Amino acid sequence: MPDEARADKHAFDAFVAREFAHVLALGLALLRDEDDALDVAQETMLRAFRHWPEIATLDRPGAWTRRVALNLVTDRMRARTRVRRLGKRLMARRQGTIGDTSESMWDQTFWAEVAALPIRRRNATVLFYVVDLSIAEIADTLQVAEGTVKSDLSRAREHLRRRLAAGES
Amino acid sequence: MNDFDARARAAADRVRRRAAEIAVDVDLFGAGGHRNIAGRRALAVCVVALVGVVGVGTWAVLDNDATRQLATDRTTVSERTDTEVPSSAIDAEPGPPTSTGASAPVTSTVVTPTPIPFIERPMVDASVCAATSTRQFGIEDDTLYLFAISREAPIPIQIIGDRSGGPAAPFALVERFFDPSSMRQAGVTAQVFANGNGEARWDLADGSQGYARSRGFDQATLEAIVQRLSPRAADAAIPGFDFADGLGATTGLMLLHERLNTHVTGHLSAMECHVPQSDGVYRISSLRGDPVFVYAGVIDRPVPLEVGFIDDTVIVIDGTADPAAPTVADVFDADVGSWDDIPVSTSPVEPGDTPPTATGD
Repeated sequence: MPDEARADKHAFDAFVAREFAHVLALGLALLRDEDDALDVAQETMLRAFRHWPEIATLDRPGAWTRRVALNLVTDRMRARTRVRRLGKRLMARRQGTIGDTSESMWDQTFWAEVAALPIRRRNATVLFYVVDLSIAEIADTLQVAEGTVKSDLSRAREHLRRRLAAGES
Repeated sequence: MNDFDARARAAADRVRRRAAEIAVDVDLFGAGGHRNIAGRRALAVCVVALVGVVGVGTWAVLDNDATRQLATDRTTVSERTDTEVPSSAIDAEPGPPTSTGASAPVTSTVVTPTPIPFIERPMVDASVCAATSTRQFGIEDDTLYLFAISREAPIPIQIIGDRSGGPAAPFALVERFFDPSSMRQAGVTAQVFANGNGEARWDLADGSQGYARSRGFDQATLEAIVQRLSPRAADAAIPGFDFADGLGATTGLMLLHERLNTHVTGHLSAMECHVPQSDGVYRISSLRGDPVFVYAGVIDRPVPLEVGFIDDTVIVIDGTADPAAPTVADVFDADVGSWDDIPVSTSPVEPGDTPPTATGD
């Protein structure tokens, strides 16, 4: 392997090691299924690998992978919807806790409500809470204006707060 | 931090911890561990195999000259293969009209429309038009081939139109072909049809060919657009055209957006409905994604009944003109339950009703 290729490979390895957990967490939060989340994370990294010569030149390659991951999550959520439409309840078993049972009912309700948000608000919300990105970083990832992110987050949080309060009353 | 935020952050923290546990457990580089996904699920074609096992050989393929040349010559180094200018430039008042024709100053400025939020489930009240089926379509980081005339990639796609009107106003999509298999008759042709759709092709000195598809322009405007397009170097990041009226001072038209046809993302949601009074069938679509996908979704089909916006979402209505026809103003975003209750369309994609086509990597 030429030195340049070896350096690229090491750079990609480091990138995967750094980003994989972030992407996986996005999938876990929204899909609530570890296998599905792993599939999304792997597909995201596979795409990153395919386009690595371009991605390696980006200032923020992580933003690219998170955007791809969120789009893959959206597709998978839609696919589940289609399955339900056909009367197959295969996915019903997949909703619920992840990992051990440390998640409270509040957690499960919270993520279910996040998943039901309109796409852009949903993506902004998980990037804010799960990946802990700033408003500017979310705007950069979703390629929207910062004001749009602020508005989306504000509305999403208000909606979630109201829904969760109603669930507890 | 209020109670809600604290609990939300705690919930997120639990997700992050679980992700970290799984990530450690996953055998990312084929060096042991408990969950070697490549072995467990061939479908995933995971990173494990590519990085850890195939490693050297695969990398050598990726590292070949052609790939590097492509990445260097045809692809921008920005996160998306497109370009834009700051909003301050967008909002700048155009100066007084300048001379017309090819002698006008060449401006390669590109203006990107406002980001497009999405009405995910376009719906109208059943009393206006009763929903009969839904359909969703999307491409993700994929190659976009327009108009079924070329399978060439990467090629540039540029949008010339009116910024305030967006895809609801007349516009043109401009492509440039480099592969002879994409090219047609030699010379220059420009024609606008009775329904307002237009098409132009012109040969370029370097052997490449320009192609424009327009909607809503008359013959003179289409020809004026072509005359104002000057080809960029073939090795430019976006090897399309500079538009000599880039801020619309003369024609009112601008180069709104440009990108390569690779790595395109876009989604279309459509609902078909029936109006009992007229027995009319209508299709209501919402489009989001890269601007080239959205504009292509409007133009790469028969002339719609109406194209409009709800906030920033592009809505397209197809069907026959009738007083009882649904309008963009009737459209709202349905809740998930209502949408899920509508059957998914199983009809094959109809000619001329195709969303932008794409193929896998």
